[in-house]
Amino acid sequence: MTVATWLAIAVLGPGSLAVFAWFLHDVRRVLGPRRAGAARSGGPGDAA
Amino acid sequence: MVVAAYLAGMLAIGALVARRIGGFDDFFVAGGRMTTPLLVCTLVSTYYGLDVTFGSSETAYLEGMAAFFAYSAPFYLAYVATAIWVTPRLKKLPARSLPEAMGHFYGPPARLAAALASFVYSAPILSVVGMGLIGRVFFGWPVWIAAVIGAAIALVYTVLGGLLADALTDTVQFVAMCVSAAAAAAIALTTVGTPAAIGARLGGQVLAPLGALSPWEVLVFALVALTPLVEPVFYQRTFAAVSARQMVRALLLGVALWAAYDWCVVYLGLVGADLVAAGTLPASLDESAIILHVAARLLPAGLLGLFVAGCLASAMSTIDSYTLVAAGNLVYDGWQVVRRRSLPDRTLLRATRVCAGVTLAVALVLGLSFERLRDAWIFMSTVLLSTTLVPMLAALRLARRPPARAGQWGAIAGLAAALALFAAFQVFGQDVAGEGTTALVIGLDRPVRVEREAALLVTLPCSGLAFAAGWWRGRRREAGP
Repeated sequence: MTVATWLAIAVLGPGSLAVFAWFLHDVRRVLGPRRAGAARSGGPGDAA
Repeated sequence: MVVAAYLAGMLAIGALVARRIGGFDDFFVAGGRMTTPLLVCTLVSTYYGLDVTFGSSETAYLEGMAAFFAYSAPFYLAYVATAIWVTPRLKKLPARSLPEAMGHFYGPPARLAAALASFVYSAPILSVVGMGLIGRVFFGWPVWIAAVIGAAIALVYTVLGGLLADALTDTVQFVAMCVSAAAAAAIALTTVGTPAAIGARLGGQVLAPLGALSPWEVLVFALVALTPLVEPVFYQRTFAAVSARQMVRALLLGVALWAAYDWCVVYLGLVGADLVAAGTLPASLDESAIILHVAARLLPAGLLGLFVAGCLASAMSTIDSYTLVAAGNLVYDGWQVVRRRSLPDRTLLRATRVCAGVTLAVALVLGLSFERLRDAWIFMSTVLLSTTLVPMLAALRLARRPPARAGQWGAIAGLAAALALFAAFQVFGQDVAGEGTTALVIGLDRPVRVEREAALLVTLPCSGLAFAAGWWRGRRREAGP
């Protein structure tokens, strides 16, 4: 259980910082121009 | 100081993103721009609010490691199932929300029922009250004042920037909640002791995976853990993802982070039990805020500020996301369907922003009036699962597409059963001494006792039976003359 606790600390600490760094590297894709057709809309009477 | 800087940063992000909002698509599904790292941050921080931080540590304090193995672990299977079985098919639908996906398969009545269930589930009652608890423990404020201040800040940046502002603020909140939990666990591990040492000191069933839970209770928790399969926030983010693959990867990475967070929070609850047993913390403290008392006892001032910011982050990331979903349920899936015509984009956008405020006001009133927060959570998840689980999974996974009538009957019967049962709990329920729950006693000769936690065992079969009856009826009509 001690090993699991240190593992959890490693995943949460350095792991979350790594995900955040990945996000910063990727942020241009998110804030860039919108992809055509990426989000679609449906209407209110949209029964199949 | 740390907390003030954090709150100012959230508002600045909302103001910056507001300039990028061109229409309802940008506001509600971030224009379909979300990639894996952003999805990981927003999924992890949104789905884990103060209900998990406080609830898991409180359960660990009272019941030991069962808080992880019996309560949290079944959810990981559901996350994986959602990633593998639900997300790829969901992403192909022309929809922006869970109710709209229901409407796509089963028509407007099913969409309206799902909108109501999703609204009940998404109103951020628990996190709003949790924010009030933080204000009381750390600043000595009345619960309602801290709740109103926190909710107002989350409302401002959500109304300004929609899902994109919400997700961008979630990235900071994700780091704050993860790092603060990791730091607190690391300090506790070196100063208080390992889980094994604490287990040896406390004795009993503290480290037993299922604690003192009966198989019946384990089954109920396993059923509740199906929630991710119809989780409105997961659905919204799937529609907002660049591709299904990005969302699947985000969910699978999220499982590791959720499990690590659960483990650390449960461990901190055990530390709380140990400190109380040793007399370091008073036995009279508020059990639901045990993790805050542990942090206040063990962490130095700077790290304590980070921990409070982490708790605030955990609450605000949940409040903003669910407020947005609930407001969309009212306008996009409710008002628009009742009026039977599509609303202009500008009207949708404006009405959703107004309804975000309405949603938070409702959540504040409900949250401050619920006696036990766990009761609110059980009610919310039972309503969502009873209404949407059977129809949605059948539509997504069965080889043969169910008729519209099946989904409509299943959704409406599940919703009606859940609302009726909880109304009965409210009117006729009897408090069960020592268990902190309410039960209904049905029948005179051989009375059966139904506890509030087991409501799903009644309402989910109602939805399933109505779905089957609707399918049979729908097929008969199709085959008729």
